[in-house]
Amino acid sequence: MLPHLDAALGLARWLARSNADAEDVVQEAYLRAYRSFDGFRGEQAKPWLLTIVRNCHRTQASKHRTSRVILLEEAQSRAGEFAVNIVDTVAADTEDPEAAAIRSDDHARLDAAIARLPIDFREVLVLREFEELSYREIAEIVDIPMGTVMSRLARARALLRSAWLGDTADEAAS
Amino acid sequence: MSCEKTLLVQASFDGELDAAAAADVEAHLATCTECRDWLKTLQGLRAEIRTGAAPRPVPPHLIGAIRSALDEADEQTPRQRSWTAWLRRAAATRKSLLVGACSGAVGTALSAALVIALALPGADQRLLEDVTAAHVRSLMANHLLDVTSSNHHMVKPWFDGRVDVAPPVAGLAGEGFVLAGGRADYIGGMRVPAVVYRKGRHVINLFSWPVRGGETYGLTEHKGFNVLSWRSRDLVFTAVSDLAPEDLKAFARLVQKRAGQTTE
Repeated sequence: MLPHLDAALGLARWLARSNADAEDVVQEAYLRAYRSFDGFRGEQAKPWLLTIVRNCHRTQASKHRTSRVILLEEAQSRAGEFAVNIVDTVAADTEDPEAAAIRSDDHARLDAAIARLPIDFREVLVLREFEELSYREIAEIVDIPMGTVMSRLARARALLRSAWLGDTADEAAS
Repeated sequence: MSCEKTLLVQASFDGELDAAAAADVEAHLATCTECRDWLKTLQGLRAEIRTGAAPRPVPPHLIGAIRSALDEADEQTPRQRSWTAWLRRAAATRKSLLVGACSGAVGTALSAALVIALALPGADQRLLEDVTAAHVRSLMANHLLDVTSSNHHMVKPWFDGRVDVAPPVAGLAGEGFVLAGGRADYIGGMRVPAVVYRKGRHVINLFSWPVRGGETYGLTEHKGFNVLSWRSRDLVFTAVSDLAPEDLKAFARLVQKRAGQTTE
């Protein structure tokens, strides 16, 4: 019904790392989109809407920061819960529970690693890998030069690789 | 990573390079182990991210919450800010610009030729803008339907007298496209019918108007939506949706087939 709601909610979930916060962000974003439609000219609707989603999340996150300090551990445990939710969804949607468990276990580790990335790296990675946007579109959404998109993307991917290899090394050691 | 080509390898992987630059990266990969490993990492991460991704449906309560928030906003600022008003104002501005351009062109043949050259491709662009804006507006301003019915015997007569053409309205529920109803809309200065279909959560607006000559047909992407135009006898049909291009084409084929059977 509402255009690009899947993409908007997907991005908000990765940014906010909690379903309730993500839904607040998306609702606020559609309201802002509606009010600022006068300012919308010729651009693609999806990147335009995702820009608003991203800015809404920034606003909401800064409100949270002033009202309470999120400890690193708390942030990590929220990221963990988020990954667990994803595992449940995967398991529920797949017919073969055993195969799903193996697949979702690997996948959940990666999701948790993405959720733990610092926000600056996480947002460019999510826009590229999940929303499949171009460097130029990402640069416009995040409001950074294309070169910075490239370096942040490379950093995000390198961090994921070490998280991935690190986890595997831990398993081998235990 | 120490190799200076890291970002170029990544750009090539992300499909951001032209053919020549991509070929340079290929040549570099043949000689650099570090970059080959990096490329494997990129491929591995993407494969894991995309193959294991679970579908995460939008909860219905969120759609309801957004709709009521939008409705409330619409009531607070009734006319001047609504998307309908935006569309009308945009249409009015374009008209006055055209008039201005034409009166200026009377002076010399050269500028007249220029105006014609500019105006011809512009007509299609304007229609594209209009149908996409109408589609977006129908989705977000909660004005999707003037007549709500899945029965084409109800929808078709409703258009009589409200719009300038009598559109063919077909029930395509058996093929997965459910008729949702119809709406009178304003495209390119014409009052045109919009027949609305749904496929799952996707909405298709099907506009039609008389052939005026000079139209271009085919599939275009505009503002994130797919727009497919075709001609059937003396009518131009334009379907707008966020459906995938293949699905939209399948829809167009069905409509064409049905129109062929039922046109009086």
